[in-house]
Amino acid sequence: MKLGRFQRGAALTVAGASVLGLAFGAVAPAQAASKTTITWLTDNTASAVKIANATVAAFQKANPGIKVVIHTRGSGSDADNLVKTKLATGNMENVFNYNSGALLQAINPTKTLVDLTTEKFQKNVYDSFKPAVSVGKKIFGGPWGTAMGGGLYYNLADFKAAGITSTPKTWAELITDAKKLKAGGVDAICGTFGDSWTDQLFVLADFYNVHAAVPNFVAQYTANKAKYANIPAALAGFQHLEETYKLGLYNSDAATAKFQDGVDRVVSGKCAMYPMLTFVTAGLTADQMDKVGFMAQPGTDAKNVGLTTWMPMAMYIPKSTKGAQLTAAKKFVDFIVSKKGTDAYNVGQGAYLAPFVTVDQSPAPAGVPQATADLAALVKSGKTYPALEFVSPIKGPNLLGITVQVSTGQVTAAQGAALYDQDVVAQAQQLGLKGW
Amino acid sequence: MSKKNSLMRSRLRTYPMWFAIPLAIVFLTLYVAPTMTAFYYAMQRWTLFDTTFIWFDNYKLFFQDPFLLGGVVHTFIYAFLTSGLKVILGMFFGIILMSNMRFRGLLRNIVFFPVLVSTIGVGLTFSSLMKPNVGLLDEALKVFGLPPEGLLGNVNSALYAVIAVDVWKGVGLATVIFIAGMAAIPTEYYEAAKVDGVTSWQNFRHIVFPLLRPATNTVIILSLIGGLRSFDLIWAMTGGGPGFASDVLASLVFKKYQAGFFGLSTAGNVIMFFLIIVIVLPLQRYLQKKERELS
Repeated sequence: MKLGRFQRGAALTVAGASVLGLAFGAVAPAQAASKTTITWLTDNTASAVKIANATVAAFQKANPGIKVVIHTRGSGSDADNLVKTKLATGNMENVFNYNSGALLQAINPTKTLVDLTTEKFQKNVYDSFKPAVSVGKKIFGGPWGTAMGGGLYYNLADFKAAGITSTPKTWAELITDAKKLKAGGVDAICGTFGDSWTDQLFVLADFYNVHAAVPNFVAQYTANKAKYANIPAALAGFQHLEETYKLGLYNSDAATAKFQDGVDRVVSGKCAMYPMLTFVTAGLTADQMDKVGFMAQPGTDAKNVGLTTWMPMAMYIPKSTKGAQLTAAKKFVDFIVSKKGTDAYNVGQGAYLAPFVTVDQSPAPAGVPQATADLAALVKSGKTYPALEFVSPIKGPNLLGITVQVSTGQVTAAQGAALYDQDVVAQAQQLGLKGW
Repeated sequence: MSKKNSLMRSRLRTYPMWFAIPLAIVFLTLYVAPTMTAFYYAMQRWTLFDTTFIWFDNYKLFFQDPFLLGGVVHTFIYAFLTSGLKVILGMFFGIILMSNMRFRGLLRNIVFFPVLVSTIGVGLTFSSLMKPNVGLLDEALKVFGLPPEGLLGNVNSALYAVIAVDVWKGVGLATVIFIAGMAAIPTEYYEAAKVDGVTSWQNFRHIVFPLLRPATNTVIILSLIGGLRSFDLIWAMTGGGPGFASDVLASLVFKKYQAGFFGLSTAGNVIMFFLIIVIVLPLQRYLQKKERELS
């Protein structure tokens, strides 16, 4: 919205008046009406709401003419369907945060979202993030939240007790260490297949290693030319599941244990390692954070230990947002991607927990928890690559069930990989990809 | 004259057609129309944003699903086992609860009580009872050599654990149907049999069992249909896992819906619809025929 001189003057007066109004504890309705109000759909978890509130407070302080109203939604498949329905019916909030990567492709961005390619804030975003919110050359989002790593949390005391001084650099070393840990009387690896999504980590977090071995895997895979079953580097993730099962490295109740059990046990030391994403750190108390470290999932090359990263969610603006609200929504996204925005995010979560994917951000303060320091060091080393779902639109819905089949010995690694190759066909066809 | 007579008779016999219209409207809009649209959407690749007409590709894809065969087998095991057990146990409880015994009313209520509880609640309660290392049921069964991964964590026992809970929950309804069936048997039969000096086994075999036929058929049909489309209990207890070890047709279809394959999951529903018809209709015919032969 372009403001004429007169209007701009009026806006300034109103802004001044509203500050006065606040000072006296009363805002007249006429002043409230001239504000632009936008709505924001975000997650409903307690921690997410805290972060959202802190962000909105900081934004409104910097932009007194705009009011942001927070609406919340659940998560998981229900949220996917809610977001799709709202977009399809034109009832989406003015701005919303949602997954980047494969899930974004499923909401048909070119038809439903505002193109944000030329917005100024894009120069503040890491290039590694952009493919996760792009279709062709158009960019549809700005990052919301921090990057995550996929790897293994490990209990510092358990490692010390087993005489392990440094984290394993290859998968073979990891197995040797796991056997030592098991001999020491703890569960070497925590399996929590009761929440079956947790069992996908060995496959998904191995993608840095897959990419290192087969650099053109992504393009070949998306074009229906490369398969998990017939490329050894890709098959390795499934083999890890089979090997750890056969060696009895999991806890005895792995098939029914849940995600929270895994977190509790790796913190308490009942389990020595827990394959997981680094978002766990944000949910730990300060004492709990001191008990664990984090490592990338090692591959075959000890000289090339790198981290598979999960891109943060992104802020999107639906095409149904127009006029003054569109301008305000763009301002809001611009703020979130700035240093002020990331600082507000850290205020909301109560600590500095992970690096953002923006160039302009406050550096990590000294004395951050071990797992955060480990993650920051991995990101800083530059040896990172996004998980497959952020660089290819294909992700099969049954990977979680298939990985559980492999890690409970129902099928072999090779059979599991072949089943997964078959599973992605429906997704690829649904997206209308070429060659499927 | 005769024509007029027959007209009058038919007028007397049947209500005018428009009496049926209100019900027909409800039936058409809430039942027939959605079913017809399901056949339509089953032939679409449907993303909520647009649809592509793809003929029978969804059906083809559904039949190629590597977990379909397992799902169908599990569905049959689930349906026939729960149905059979409900008939046997329901009849057993029915006979006991018809006899003159103390606390009969209280016991009847206790047997029926699980039917009243929400299925999801029952599922969550039993999955905690069966939780390895902490669940009461799991700990108790360990005495008999239950492996450490527990009932629900074991690939071979998960489905049967859910079946046991389904029977526990559903047997009360079967019992009530059997009790009602037995109450309808005229006492003259028993009196006559007494005069002839029959044993209690003969009494059951030749009087109660044959005359309970209608009740038995009702229990078989109801529990078989319930078993074939069962979903909520399985979803609450195992989510179809571990892996796909307790997945049934309905949970496979639901997973496809969750993944956003709306056309594909609708095709799955259409297949399930026909499968239930193909099994239940002939069975019902057969059972009714037997019933008629008897009377």
